[in-house]
Amino acid sequence: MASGPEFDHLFKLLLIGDSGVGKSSLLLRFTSDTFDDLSPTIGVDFKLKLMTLRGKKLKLTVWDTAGQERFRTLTSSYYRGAQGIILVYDVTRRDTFTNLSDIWLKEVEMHSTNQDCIKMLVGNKVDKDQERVVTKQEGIAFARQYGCLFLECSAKTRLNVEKCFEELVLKILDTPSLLRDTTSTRKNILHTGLQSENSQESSSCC
Amino acid sequence: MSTPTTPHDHSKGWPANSIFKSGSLLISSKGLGWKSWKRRWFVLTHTSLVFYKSDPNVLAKGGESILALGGIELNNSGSVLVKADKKLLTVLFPDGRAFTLKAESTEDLEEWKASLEQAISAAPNADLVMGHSGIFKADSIDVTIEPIELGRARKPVKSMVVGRPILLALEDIDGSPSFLEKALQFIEQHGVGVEGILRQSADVDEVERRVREYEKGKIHFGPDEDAHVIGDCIKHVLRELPSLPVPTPCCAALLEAQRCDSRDTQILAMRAAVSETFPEPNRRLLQRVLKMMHKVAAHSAENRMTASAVAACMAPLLLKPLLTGECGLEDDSDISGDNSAQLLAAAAAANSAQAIITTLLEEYEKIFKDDYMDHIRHSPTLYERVNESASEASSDGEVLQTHKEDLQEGKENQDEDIDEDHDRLLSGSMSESSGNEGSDIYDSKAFEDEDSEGQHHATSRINHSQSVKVLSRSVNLGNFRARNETHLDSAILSASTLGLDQSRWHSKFSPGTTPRSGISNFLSGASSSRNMSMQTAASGSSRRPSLWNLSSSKKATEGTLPEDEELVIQRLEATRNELRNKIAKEAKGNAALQQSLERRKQALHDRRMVLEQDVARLQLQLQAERELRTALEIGLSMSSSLDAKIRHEWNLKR
Repeated sequence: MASGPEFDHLFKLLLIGDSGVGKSSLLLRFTSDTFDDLSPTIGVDFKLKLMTLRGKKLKLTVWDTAGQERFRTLTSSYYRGAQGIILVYDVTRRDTFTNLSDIWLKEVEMHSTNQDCIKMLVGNKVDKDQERVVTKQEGIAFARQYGCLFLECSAKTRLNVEKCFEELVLKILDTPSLLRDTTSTRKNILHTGLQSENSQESSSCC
Repeated sequence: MSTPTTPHDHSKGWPANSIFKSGSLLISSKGLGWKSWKRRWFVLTHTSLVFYKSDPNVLAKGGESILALGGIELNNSGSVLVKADKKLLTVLFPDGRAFTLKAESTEDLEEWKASLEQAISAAPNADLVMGHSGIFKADSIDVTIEPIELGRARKPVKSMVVGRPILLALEDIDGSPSFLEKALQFIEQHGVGVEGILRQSADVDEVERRVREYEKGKIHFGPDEDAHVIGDCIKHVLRELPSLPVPTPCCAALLEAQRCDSRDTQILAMRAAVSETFPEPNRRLLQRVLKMMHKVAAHSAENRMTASAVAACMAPLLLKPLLTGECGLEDDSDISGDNSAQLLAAAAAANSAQAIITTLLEEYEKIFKDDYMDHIRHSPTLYERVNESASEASSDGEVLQTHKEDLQEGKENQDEDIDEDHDRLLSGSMSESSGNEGSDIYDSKAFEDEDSEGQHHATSRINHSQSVKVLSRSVNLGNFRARNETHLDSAILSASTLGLDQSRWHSKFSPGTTPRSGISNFLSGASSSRNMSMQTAASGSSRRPSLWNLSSSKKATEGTLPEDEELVIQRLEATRNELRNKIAKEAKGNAALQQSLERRKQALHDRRMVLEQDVARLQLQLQAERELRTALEIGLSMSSSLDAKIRHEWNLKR
C-alpha cells in the first residue's frame, strides 16, 4: 500500500477471431511466455498482465473467448468497456481471414461501447511460412480499409507477440477518451478507502 | 444467425433505390439474461430496411468502410403494427418474418409507420420474391425474436436442409438419411483423421454454398470435400433447428445429474435424465451427434481432438439453454462496469455445458448402451429395449443400495406405463393437429399442418414462449416444455447471486491463473438458485415440485389408471431424489460438524498436554526451590553452630 496505487491504468483488451487461430496461445505467450498445445477455450477466460510503458504502470485484463461458437449470447458484456480489440487470424487459413470482415468486425461494430476503441489486426502462425496463404500485403490492405493497426506474429516462436500488445496499448495511451475511468482509484472500489490515506504520500514520491 | 442464402451484399455502400426515410430507431440487443435497446441508424427503401451503427453519411472515422449491420427485405405482403404505449413498431410478413423496433418519440413512431406503409406498398410483389430469405442481419443481434423462432420464421419455403423440425433432423419423410445424417456419416468416415475437425471453422460463405448445392441436387458428400466445411454444415443445421435440440428441462436434468458426487451415480443419473426427460426425437438426435463426436474423439491421436475438446466445441450448440442462461435480468442498468459477473456466469455455464457433454461422451457406452440403432422410428422393439436398459440401470446402481429395490420396481412399472402413454400421446396429438388418426408419426400432413399453425402464431405474436409452445407441440412429447421454460425465464439469476465484483475478482486471482476454480463455485451457487426458483415456480401448478414432474402433472389431468400410477411413481422418485439430496446435505453437514468437533477435541487435548507439562515444570521448580531452601537453612544452621563453636573456642582460649 505504501508504494502507491497498484497501477496507473487498467485496460480491458479482447481477443477475437475464429476457432483455432491461436488466440489463447497468443495470450499464453504474452502472459507467461510459454507455448503449449492448447485445447479449445471453453466459454470465456481471461488473464492479467502488468506492464510498464512510458513510465506508467499498466494492468491489462485480456479476455479470450471460445471462437468456435461465435453465435453465442455473451457478446455484449464481453465487448462492453473494452479499450482495445485484437482481431486474430491464421495466415495459413484464408477462411479465418475472410471471416474477420464477414463476421467479427460486425460484432465489434455492433457491441463495442467505446467509439474510439482501438482495433488491431494480427496474423498469427507466421512460423508456418510454407503453408502461408494470406500475404502480408493483404493484411495491410485489410487494416487500412477498416482502420486497424496491423502486425504479423507467431505465438510459437514469440515473434512480435509482445510488440503487438505494446503497440495496441501505446495507441490506447495516445487516445485520451479511452483513458477515462481506467485509473486504479475509480476501478478498485474496495481499495479506495485504503488508498486515500496514502494518496498524498504516493503522489509525492512519483 | 447467419442466413444461408443471403450474402451480405449490402455491406458496401447503399442500396441502389431511393430512400423513403432514414433516421435513428432503437433495436433490442439481448445478452445473457438481459436486454437493452440500442440506437442504430435505419435506412428505408422500397426493397429493404437496413440499419447501420450510425448515419453512414456522417461517419466519425474517415475512410473506413461502412457495414450494414442487418435489416429486413420488404415485399408488398407486409404490414406494420404499432404499440403506441411502448412506442414499438413491428414489421410483419405473412411468412412469419418480423422485425420489432422502438421509436424515441411518438411523432417519430407515426412518421416511421407512415413511411414503412408507403415503402411496403411500393415493395416488390410477394409472389415474385418468395423463397428469397427474409431477415438478414449481423450474426449476433437478436431482434426481439428469439433465435429459435427466427430459424423457423425465416424459412417460409421449407428448406430441404436448414430449419427442419427435430423429428426430421436425421431422416427425410421417406426414411432416407437427411442432409445432417449424411454429413455426420461423412465426418465419421472422412473427417476423423483431419486435424482440428469440429474445432476449425470454415468460411461461412462456403458453408452456405454447400447447403445450396445440396438443395440443388448435390446430395452426396464426396471423400474429397473439405471436412471443415461439412463439420460447419452440421453446426449450421443444429444451430438453425426450429426448436432446441436439448430442451430446457432436459438440460436442467443433465445439469443436475452432472452434479452428482461419484462417477457411478453421475452415469446413473444421466441415464435417468436421458430416458425420462428427453422427448424421443431429441434423444435420438443428441445420441446421434454424440456418436459422431465419440468417433472423432476416438481418433484423437490423428485429429488432436480429445473428448473434452470435442465437447467444448459442440456443447454450446447442443446445450443452448444452459449457455443462454434462463435468467431474466430485464435491463442492463443494474450491471455495472464491464459486466464481469455476467461474463463469469457465462463462463460457468459454458464450463458446465462442456462438462456434461464430456461425461456423455466419455461414458457414452454406459449411458446409452448400444441401443441407438434400434431407436430409429417407433418400432415395438423400442419399449423392450427401454425395459432392458432400465433393469441394467438398476443393477448398475449398487451404489444406491438403500433404494435399489424401489428403483428396480419403479423403473419397470414406469416403462410399461410410458409405453402405453407414449402411444396414446402420439395418436392423440395426431388427431389434434391433423384430424387424421395416422399411425405414422412422420405423416407429412401433420407436419404441414403444424407448420402453418406455427406461422399463424408467429404472425400473431412475437413472443418467445409462444413460439416454444408451438414448436413443442410438434414434438408431441415436449408439451410440458413451454410451461417449464417460462418458469425458468422467471427464475432470476440476480447480479447479487453472481456476487463477484471486478475488484474482488482481481484480488482473488493472481496474474496468469485461469478463473476456473472461482467459476465452479459460482456455478454451484448459480444453478442451485435457479433450481430453487424453478421448483417454487412449479409448485404453483403441481403439488410436488420436481424437475420432470411437470410432464406428468399435465398427463395426470387426463387421469387414466396407469398414468396415475406413473404419476405416483414419479412423485415417489422425486421424493426419493429429494430425500437423497437432503441426506447428502445432512451427511456433509454432519461431516463438517464431526470435523470441527475433532479439531476442538484435539485443541483441548493439546491444551491439556501443555498445562500438564507446565504443572510438571512448576512442580520441579518448586522442588528445586524447596531443596535450595533446605540447603540454605542447613547452611544457616551450620553457620550459626559454627558461630557458637568459634565463640565457644574463643571463650576457652580466654
